[in-house]
Amino acid sequence: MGNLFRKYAKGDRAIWLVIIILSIASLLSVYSATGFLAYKYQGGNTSYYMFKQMGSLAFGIGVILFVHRIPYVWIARFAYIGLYFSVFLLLITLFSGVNLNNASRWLTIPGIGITFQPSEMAKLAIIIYVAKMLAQHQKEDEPAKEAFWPSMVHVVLVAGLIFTENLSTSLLVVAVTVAMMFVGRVPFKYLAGTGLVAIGLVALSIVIAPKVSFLPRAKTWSSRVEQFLNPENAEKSSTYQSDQSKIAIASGGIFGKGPGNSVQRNFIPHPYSDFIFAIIAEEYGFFGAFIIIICYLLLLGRIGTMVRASNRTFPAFMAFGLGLMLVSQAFVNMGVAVGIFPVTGQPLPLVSLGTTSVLFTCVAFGLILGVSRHNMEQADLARQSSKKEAVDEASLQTNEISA
Amino acid sequence: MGNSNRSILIILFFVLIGIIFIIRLFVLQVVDPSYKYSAESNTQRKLTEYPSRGLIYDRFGKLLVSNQAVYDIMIVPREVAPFDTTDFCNVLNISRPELDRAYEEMRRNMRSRRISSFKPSVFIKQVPADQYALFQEKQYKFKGFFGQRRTVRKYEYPHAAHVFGYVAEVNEATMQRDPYYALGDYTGISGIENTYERFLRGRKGARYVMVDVHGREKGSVRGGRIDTTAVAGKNITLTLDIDLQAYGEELMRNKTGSIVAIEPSTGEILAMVSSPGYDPSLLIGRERSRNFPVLSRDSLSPLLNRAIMSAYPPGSTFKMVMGLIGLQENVLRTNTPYSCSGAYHARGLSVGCRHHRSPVDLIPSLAVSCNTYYCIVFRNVLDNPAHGSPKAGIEKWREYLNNFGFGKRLGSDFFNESRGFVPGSGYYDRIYDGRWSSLTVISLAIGQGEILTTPIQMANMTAAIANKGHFYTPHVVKDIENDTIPSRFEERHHTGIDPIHFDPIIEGMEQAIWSETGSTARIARIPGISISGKTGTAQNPHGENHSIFVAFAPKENPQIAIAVYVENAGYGSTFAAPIASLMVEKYLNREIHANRKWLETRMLNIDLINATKH
Repeated sequence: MGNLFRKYAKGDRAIWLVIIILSIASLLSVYSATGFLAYKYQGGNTSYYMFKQMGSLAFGIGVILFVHRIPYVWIARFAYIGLYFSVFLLLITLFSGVNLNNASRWLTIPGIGITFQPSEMAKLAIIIYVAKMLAQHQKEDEPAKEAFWPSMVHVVLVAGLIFTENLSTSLLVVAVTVAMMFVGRVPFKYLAGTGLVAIGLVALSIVIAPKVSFLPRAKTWSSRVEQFLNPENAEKSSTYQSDQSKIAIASGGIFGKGPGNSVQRNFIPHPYSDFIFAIIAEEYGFFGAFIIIICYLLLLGRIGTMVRASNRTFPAFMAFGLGLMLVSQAFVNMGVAVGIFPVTGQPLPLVSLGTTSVLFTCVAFGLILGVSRHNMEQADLARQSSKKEAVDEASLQTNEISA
Repeated sequence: MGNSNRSILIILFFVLIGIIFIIRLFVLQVVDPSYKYSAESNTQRKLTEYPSRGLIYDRFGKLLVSNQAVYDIMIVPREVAPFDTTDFCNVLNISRPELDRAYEEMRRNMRSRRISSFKPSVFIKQVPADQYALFQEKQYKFKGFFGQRRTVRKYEYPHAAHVFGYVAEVNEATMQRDPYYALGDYTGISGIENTYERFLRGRKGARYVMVDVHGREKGSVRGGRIDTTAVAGKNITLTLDIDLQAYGEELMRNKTGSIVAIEPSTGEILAMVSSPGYDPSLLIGRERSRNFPVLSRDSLSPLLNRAIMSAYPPGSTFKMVMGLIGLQENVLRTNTPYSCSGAYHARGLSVGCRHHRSPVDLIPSLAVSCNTYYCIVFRNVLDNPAHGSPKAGIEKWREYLNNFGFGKRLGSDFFNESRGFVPGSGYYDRIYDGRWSSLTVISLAIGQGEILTTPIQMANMTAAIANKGHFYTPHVVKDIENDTIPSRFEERHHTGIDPIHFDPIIEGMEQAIWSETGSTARIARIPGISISGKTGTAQNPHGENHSIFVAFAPKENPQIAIAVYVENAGYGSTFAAPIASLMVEKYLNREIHANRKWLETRMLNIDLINATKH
């Protein structure tokens, strides 16, 4: 088994451990949190969603195993195609997407009948694209000024397409790519300017959007922000989600109520996705929630080491960007559950129920692990070659001696 | 490479957020207990058990107010199936628009999430028991509806509505003031239902049940060990004599005015009539919403408790107090006669009087009700050199009046008592710009002018005279089950007039009824009862004079003191005196002497309201 694993699963062991822990957490909590859904839609087949998630995860791990073997050079080559394909899909979604919770984020693939969220794909594509731009313009001892405009134009394009339907994802896209540019030595004044403009735009749209008809979710945004800022003034029913989530977390205590013993799953809307962290905190207590947080921090930490070890810029930027996206998504999800952020629908990567989310999270993990694999192979190669050189030298010496 | 240092910066930023999360989690899960309590409330529901209100008895132990069951028709919106709405309206005796209104309200409340479609909520309030029986028979046809028992008041007599007040659902303000109350609770709004609410309401009980996520009951919490049972309210005995009260209301039928009868030795109110009144049953439960607007729009204000809220000039019934003040102030001697030529003349001003024998001293002055006599007394009081000026004099006069309970709230059981009005020097300085004398305000001498008193104040004055100088605050509560009545009702108040001065005054009041010559109220004579009294005729700018009579009996050991006001009825002797004497006779003898039956019949049948209207 160990050998088998070693044979097929390359790359950083710690990241693999994170993937396994999160998958297990996902199966346990999804099983517990979908009882209501199972009764409502699956005639009481309580394990339906767990098996569905198990299938998604198994498929996802297959994707990781596949993706992490692809040389990053290939990925860099497909950066443009991936990005424009995503933009194309986003456009289609915007005009003909499936409306779920008043947000048309879903696209049905014709023929197969599977719905998925193009924004998940677009997130990855834009990160890869920005990583490529940054890598192309890196110079010794000089800021990467030229990388800013091409990156920014595409970031704005993608974020703008997601924006009307999914404010938080588009904000995450901007934040993560800006962070990448910061690491990629794009001059700070450009980034600060971008930040200010973004803040201005968001504030403006939240204020005026309720009056404009083409932003159907604007009312939700402003009311959620309002609730978050003034919870005392908010109506009881509107703080319902976050109150129930806090009750879940609070009633978990230090050690939790135990697997499957959540009570709050019956009171929290979407306990299997947006609020799954609350269910974990309720059933597994402070320790369970602690482990999940540590998992994501560990992931980010390992990527940090990878970036430091990497001698190529594109894979380093890409791994860093993807890691940042995963972890920020996770933190937003947790932040909503514990009441640090306003209510928004970011899934907890790899844990929340949802095939698209799991799939593209796995692609991201695959890409990260691919970089890791490459670095490790390079390191091995270097070690071997230095060993070889040493042997050569030694043999040379012996030859000299013998000569 | 320089990039990695920047990446470390960002990673550190995330580590910081991670630490914030961990701290936040620790606070929520381990430190702060507030959300843990909320967790319990999600799975438990408290069901209120309503206590029955305390019963109310009269002074002889007759049951006056009890409780009756009514039923709130509850609805569980999810379980409602299409039903025959006409049939539904018929069995509940409601109209179609009423049903539509109830339905609309339910929809509104569901949208604003005030009620749940899974949980029962009130649909139609307070259906009477007999109506509910009809509903119950057909309940199987109306899925999603059921009845919940509540109790409302039941009045055994159609009388004393103003004394009882009424009960209604608590409003927002009361709920905020007193955390005992919750939405849908009943509370006393006026009368003694309000004053003694704390005793009458009892204590609510609570039953805790487990509920599932849809709010359906799943059995009791901890086997019902934390449940509490409701405690019924305390019973209250009133000082009212319900027969006397009923008799008073009969006598006052078709007249506007008021009767207050007090037991002088205790201050207990024997009857308190305000006419026109209403049947207290009109304000029970569902009926109230229909009847209250009608009563409050009525031009004769039946909801107004005239006995405590209406202030009138006391007229000649004020002369006793005037005489007492003169005696106490030592400016009047019992035997000094003053002559009267049919009016009091002074410096171009005259106060009319009627023709009677002249001169008169104190006792006959009351019997014939001489205005001239009291104008002289009044001026002697105000212009008494001992006080220096009429301003000081009127303040002294006012002090006596306050001691009699005028110009202030007596402090009875009713929170909405009127003060009446006793003018002082400040008041006259304002309206006369400081230039006024005892002559300017001479009308006060005969209870006219600015002075205003309420019927309860007049009855109280009569009781103080009967007691020769002291009184107890008039009150209607006699006994509270396992509790004590407010101690202020046991305090003796002194008028500041020496008992000896009351003898000639009482003598004069007796003469007013019994004197062979010139007595003003012969009609109040009751065979075998030594009744003393005084008529009053209060001029009134709005129309006919008010007819007033105050009396007490028997002369020795007085058991009843009474004040009767009949608005716009003319002389005191025409209506108020006969009614007062009938009341006294009824109370003391429990029946009306055969010789006076004609008077009773006449008083019962006279219709002043409709007569003046047409």
